[in-house]
Amino acid sequence: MNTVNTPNKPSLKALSGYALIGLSALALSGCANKAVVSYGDAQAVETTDINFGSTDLQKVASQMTDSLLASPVVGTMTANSRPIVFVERIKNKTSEHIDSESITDSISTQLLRSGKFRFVDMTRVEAVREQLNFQNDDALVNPSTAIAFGQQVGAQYMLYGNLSSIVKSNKDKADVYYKFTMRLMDLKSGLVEWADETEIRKTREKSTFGW
Amino acid sequence: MKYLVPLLAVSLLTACAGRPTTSGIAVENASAQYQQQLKVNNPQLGKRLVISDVKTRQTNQLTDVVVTLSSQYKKSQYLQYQFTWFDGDGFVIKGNHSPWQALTLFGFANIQLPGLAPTQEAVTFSLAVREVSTQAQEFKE
Repeated sequence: MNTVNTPNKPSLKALSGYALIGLSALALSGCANKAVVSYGDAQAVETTDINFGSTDLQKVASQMTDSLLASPVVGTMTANSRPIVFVERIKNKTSEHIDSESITDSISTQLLRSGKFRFVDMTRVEAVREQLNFQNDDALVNPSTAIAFGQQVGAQYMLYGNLSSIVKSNKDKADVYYKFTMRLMDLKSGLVEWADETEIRKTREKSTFGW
Repeated sequence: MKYLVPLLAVSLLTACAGRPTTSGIAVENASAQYQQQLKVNNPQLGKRLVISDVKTRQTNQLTDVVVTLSSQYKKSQYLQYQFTWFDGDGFVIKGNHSPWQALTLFGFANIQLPGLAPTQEAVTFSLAVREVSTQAQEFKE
């Protein structure tokens, strides 16, 4: 007696079983819409959006510091002494709000750590004056330990710069170009002893695939 | 057909998990014999990218290096690199927060990555190169 062999097709029931397993695995995975807090790497490249971000700040600070430290003029300047520098400020000419003091803080910290420069901090002049006034005028302080006025040293060089941007966009694409320029001026002669610039281009395009 | 649904679920899972690849290629404790110190932790990237040269010199009493990266791939690669500096005893230089820097390497192009020691004590370095993830690079494990 011949029997007719039917092809080994999965039944509808088996298919729905697979679907159920797949979907439940999906639900159990991290796809569920819940808040997760974790620590990231502060030094990693950050591409959250096109605005000036931590990666740009770190790149600008790192490249400017390296350029200044490797410059032949600075090599001569720092061969036998540690020049005293004051950081003026970075003029933010972009359309964004950028904490430019944060950029100068990073640059001055890295330069100070290199051991080749010394800095005076103009942002704390009022606090220093207040403290010296207290030490010299207040009866609470032993006069022999009070720091006298007129002993601070003056800066020899001024570090300053500009940050500008060009922004362009259409419905599919946005492009931003940042240019950061920095200069070191000899305060005695007024000569610009060192200057350099660094550029950043960031582009945002619509992704073809994406979740 | 019977594999379709589980396959779909697995592909969804991998996409949703979103844990970026953070391995790459590196040159460690670099000196003149850099070929011995090359490490390829990501073979896929290792096929497309080669560290072809390491040069060092002294500039203003600081160790100055350039590392040449060569693309072996026809399309642009979106990469990031980081130098880490060590003193003569092999200790990492404290307080030196060398950032990962973004880099676009065009098809079959060569590029020199410059690095300057942050202090005079920094004498050896490591360079790590990896791909930029479109998501934030996070180390959750």
